[in-house]
Amino acid sequence: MKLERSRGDYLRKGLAHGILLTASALAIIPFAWALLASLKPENKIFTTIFRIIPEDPTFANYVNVWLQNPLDRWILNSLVITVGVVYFTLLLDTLAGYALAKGKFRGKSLVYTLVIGTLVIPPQVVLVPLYIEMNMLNWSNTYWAVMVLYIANPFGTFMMRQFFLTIPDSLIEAARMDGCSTLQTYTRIMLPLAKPALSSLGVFTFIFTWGAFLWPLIILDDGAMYPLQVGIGLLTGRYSSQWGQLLAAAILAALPVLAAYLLAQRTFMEGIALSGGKG
Amino acid sequence: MAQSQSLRRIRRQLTGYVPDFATASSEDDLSWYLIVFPKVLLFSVVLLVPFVGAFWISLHQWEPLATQHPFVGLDNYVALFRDPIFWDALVNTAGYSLALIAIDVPIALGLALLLNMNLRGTKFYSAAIFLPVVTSWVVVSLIWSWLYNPQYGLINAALGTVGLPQPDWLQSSKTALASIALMSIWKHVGFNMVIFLAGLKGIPDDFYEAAIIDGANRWQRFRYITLPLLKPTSFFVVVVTLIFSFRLYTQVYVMTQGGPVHSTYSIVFYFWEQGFQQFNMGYASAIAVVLFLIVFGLSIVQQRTWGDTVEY
Repeated sequence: MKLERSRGDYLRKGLAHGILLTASALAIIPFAWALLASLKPENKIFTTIFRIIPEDPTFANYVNVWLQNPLDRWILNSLVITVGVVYFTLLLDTLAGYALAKGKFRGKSLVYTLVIGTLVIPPQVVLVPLYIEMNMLNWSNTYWAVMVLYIANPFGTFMMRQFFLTIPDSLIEAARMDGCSTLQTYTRIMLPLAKPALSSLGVFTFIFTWGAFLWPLIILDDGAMYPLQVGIGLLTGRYSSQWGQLLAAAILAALPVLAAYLLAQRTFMEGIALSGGKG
Repeated sequence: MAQSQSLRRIRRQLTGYVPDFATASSEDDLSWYLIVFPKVLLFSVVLLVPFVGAFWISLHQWEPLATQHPFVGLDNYVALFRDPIFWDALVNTAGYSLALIAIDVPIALGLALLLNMNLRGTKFYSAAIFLPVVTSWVVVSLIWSWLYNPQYGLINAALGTVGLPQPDWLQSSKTALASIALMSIWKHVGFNMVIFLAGLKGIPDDFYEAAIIDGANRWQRFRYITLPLLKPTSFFVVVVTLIFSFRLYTQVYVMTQGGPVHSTYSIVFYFWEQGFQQFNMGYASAIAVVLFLIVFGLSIVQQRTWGDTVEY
């Protein structure tokens, strides 16, 4: 293809830049504006809408919302739940995906049907019986009760199976010849090869669990056990006029994920693309 | 005799996990079972049993603290069918879903096509547009509640300065659902965009080169190469958007609590209110079963009409 640099080409590129720039601005402005508004003193937030950069920026809203709510406890809860779910998802889904891709055992197609079948169930459908089940186990108000629903998600198993199918059988045969057991093949061959898929699945699970709302809201009634999203979501009722503090809380809740995103932006996007494309 | 032999086999396989002692044959079912067991157990206890349980509970009048749960047959479904709030919730959810598919998906495709031009700054653009995707629904709902504030919000302030009408957004039953849909499109469009972009990158360059040699113009290349080859991706995007949009809940909870006058009730919001506020768990389960049937039916219809994948 020869490089043509006609006027139409410039025009098209300019137009594309214009659209993309507008889209980027639209995506960023709400966050930037919420950040700036959260730095205004509470009594000025309603009177200075057009003064976008605050005159005398203050962290008073952040301090107040933190003093009045157990934000540190909520953040800890979120971290425990998210890290736990990511860890168990990666462990169990790689194991099950490995068995479904490379295993030879009776009942394999039954297990696979189970995975595909549960993929189409909207998770909301199981919440009432699961709530009753967790209460029977006396697990309500525990981290485990929140975590089990997300760890059971069949998506990762499906994704890891698709990934392991692409690894040639000859590699596994060779490992066997060298005396690797099934489990050793998993830890020494499959897991190291699965690193890109693992990071995608990990990132995907992280975003999803960090943002989880409905199930923790249902199964937890002890405010000290709330993950951050639930704690902050419940503030809206009490704080309907204290917008500075609400926005400060929203910014605090967004920060950990945004920081992780800015640090590992490629992994995030590839995670979505990979899990999406394979689905 | 046979028993002791199989016992020995089991023992041999268990010890086979100790390094340098491994002589597992390829038919060893047991180790595969052990590997797959934890996930299967979780599936069964957390998803499968409750899934069947939802159908079962939906046939009963079920209050969690009651000692008895009387069997009522299909009464919950009959009541649901006559419940105007449920119909509101159904229509609202379907409308929201349609809006997402009709607006979100084309915009996402358009943005992905622009990003695929590999202009300078593409990395920045994609990072920015993807930003709302990684942020949680609670956070964006809070921020947008404030943006939508009729008196003090940024949107109406901006509309006011250019002299456009200033709607009441979330506070009017006419615009509340549309406001939620608009925000959701803003939040979700980057997700679909990235999937489309991955699909576009998967189309081999030689196809376009051959088409250029054959004299196809830009539109023809898009119409006869990009679109058909993007069909599996589009199928995936539409199904996922549909499935996710039918789970509409968090935005409603944070932004409107279903109001004003039921105008933003969604299926899942009504399910939550019935099941976990009123504790009519039988009735809530009936709503959940209907939700499942709708989502399941839609994915089957789409499988039929779009399902054939293109090989290249």
